Amino acid sequence: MQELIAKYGGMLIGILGSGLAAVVCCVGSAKGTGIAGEAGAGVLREKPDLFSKVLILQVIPGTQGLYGFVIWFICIIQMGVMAGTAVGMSIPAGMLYAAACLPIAIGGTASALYQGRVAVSSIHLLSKQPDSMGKGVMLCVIVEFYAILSFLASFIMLISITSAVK
Amino acid sequence: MAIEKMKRLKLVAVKSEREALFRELMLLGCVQITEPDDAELDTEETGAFSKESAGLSECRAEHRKLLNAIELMNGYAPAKTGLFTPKPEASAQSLTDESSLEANLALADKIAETDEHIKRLTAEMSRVKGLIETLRPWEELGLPFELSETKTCFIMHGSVPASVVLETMETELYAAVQESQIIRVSSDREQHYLLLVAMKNNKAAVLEAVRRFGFSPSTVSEMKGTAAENISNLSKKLKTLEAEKDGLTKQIAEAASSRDDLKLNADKLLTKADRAENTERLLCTDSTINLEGWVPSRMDKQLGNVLLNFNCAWETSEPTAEDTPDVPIKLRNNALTSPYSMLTEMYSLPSYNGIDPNPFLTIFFSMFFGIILADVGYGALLFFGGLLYKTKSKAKGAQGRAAGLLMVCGMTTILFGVLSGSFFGDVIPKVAGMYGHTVSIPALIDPLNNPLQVLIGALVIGFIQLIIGTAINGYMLIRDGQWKDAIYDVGSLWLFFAGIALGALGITWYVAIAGAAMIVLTQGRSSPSIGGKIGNGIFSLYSVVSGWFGDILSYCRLMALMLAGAVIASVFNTLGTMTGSIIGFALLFLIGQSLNLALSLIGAFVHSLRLQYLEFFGKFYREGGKPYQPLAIKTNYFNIIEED
Repeated sequence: MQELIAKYGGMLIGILGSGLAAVVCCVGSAKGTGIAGEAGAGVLREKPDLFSKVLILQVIPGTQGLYGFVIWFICIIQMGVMAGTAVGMSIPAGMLYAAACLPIAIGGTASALYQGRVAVSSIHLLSKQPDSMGKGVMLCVIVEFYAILSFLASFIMLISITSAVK
Repeated sequence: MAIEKMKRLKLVAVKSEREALFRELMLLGCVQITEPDDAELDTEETGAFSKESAGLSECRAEHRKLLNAIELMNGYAPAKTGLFTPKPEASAQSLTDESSLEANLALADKIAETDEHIKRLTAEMSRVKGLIETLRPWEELGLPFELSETKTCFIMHGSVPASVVLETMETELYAAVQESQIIRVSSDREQHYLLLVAMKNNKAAVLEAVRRFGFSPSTVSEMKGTAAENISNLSKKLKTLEAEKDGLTKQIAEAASSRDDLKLNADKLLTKADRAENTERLLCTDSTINLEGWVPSRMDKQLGNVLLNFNCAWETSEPTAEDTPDVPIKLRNNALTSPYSMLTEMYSLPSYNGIDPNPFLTIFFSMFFGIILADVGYGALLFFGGLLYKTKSKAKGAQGRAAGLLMVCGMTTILFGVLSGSFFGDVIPKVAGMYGHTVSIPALIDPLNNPLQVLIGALVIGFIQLIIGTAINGYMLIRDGQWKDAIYDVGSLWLFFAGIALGALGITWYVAIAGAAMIVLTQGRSSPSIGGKIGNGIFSLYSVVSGWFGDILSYCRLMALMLAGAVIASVFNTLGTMTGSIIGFALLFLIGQSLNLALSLIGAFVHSLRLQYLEFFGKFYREGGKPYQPLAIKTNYFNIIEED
């Protein structure tokens, strides 16, 4: 047992942490695009010609899922999961990787949820004033910035951990 | 590159020449007519003036009629236009010639009528189709519907739900009334269609017995003849209706040849409505019109030449200080800065005593956009996309300017892409790696491995932009003769920052202290009391320090977005190389890079703009100008060509 933990323990913690980054962000994006999609469908019933604009507003909260996925990918590359060198990673090292994934897991998910709400309001705005598409997108992208900051926090930590661990 | 100088225009002309005068002014396209105060209308000396209707609402109604006709035409006979199809051209003269208007309005009426007719036919057709559907189940029945009774019996058409077992129904019916029969005509998924035959004197008991099974009488019994006869008649009717509808649709499609003519006349009416709207602003007496408005100073002479041909008196004068909020704002741009005018207008036009921010916006917006995207591949896509759109569609106005914006920003993106050695992320080293080669691209800045360098660069650029903002503020104050304010507001700030720089270099902190003291002593100068002056001064020092700290840090978004774009591009390239085949790589490359480009484009646009609006404009901008909207020819479907 002890042997197993020494061999796979660190890798397991790292994989759990990086997986969390991907999956929690995706849940947030699913919720965000979901509520925007509901609002969009309601508007399209009255004004089907707004479809392309509504679609753009709907996908904006979807980017956080992408950020989470990218962090997950970078994390397993850095850990060496794909190269097979992650076996035997120490438990503290695995914890470091998991911790580095936390910013995007939390920041990405929360910003996807709030951005989804802005997208819903922007879609309602669009239904009243079809010309105000640009304004709606702007309001959404302001929220996006905080997902980008969380993403970078995770990214820079992941890059710098590797030199510290090895 | 500057705010156009305006002159106030006062003009009195003879009423009989009103239409001709307006037509000429419209062709000249430089006079903005102002709405007179309603208060002025009521005073005693202007009591003789009144406003007159010029048929604005009729014009608008006619314009709507034409637009409606064009839309119907597009519905029945779609015009083949691509994204790059240029708008047709028309001369300014032809747009004020209204000779073919009547014919076009008649055509529009006819199209609307035909459309109504088609709609009525369609409704009738669906009614007939419905009728045929209800008759279908009875098609097998040879009995005419009108035969509803014999001497002693009655016959009823009706249906029961498909769930009813007919044998059970029959048994129960016999149990209730011996002399009765149900005959099944046909069945479908939902219902059995039945003929009920029984003695007249038992009718109540029979109906009672079948009602328990959900028997409901059918409406077909109101018809004459057999079902098959009815169906064949109705089908014939349907065919004639269809033929009629096709004929009418063809009529509209044939009329589509005059679509361009309709569009031209729609634009004429747009122009006419604009003229009418401006005419209704005029104050009139019985025989004269009184016009007040604005004209650009440089157009003074051309206006004079036009007015010489009319019986009128006019004068132009420089706007006074009180006029400042009312002067319409026109920004004079060159080819490079004109796309950026859009961005300024989206915020708010500068006030007449402000400054045209477009030259600064041009430099900083395109630079920030380039920093954020920073990729040779993306930049080339933007540049050639803009170029293609501009040359192919000959777009003028807002779309043409947007294409120009894309081209300039594409160039800066290429520039910063070269500096950071990025071509669709790191596609060249990755693809070379797939074939076992190691390639590295020389780069001046390396955002992935040295983000700190990029962060510091971004903050320095931000500080420079903000200092330029304060310099513009100082320039405006000195231009307006408020040199004291320039020294107090801008000089003290510069002294303070210079002092901080000297202090940080370890030379002396005294300059910074002097700067801080100057801020404390001067910034409260508008307060009436000594305590207020000092209190406000200290508060100003605090807000300068915290405000500038926040403003400069805000520029870290340049680095954040640049890095995020580069990371995502690189990850998609890595995913592509992991497939091991060039086809898999190409697929993932296409999907990933277009996704990343779309995301980064929105980010680059919004965040570059935000830095201008909030951080940069906050340092100097005087907003609130009203847009210059001269009496001119405005079109929707046509580009206007100039005539010599």
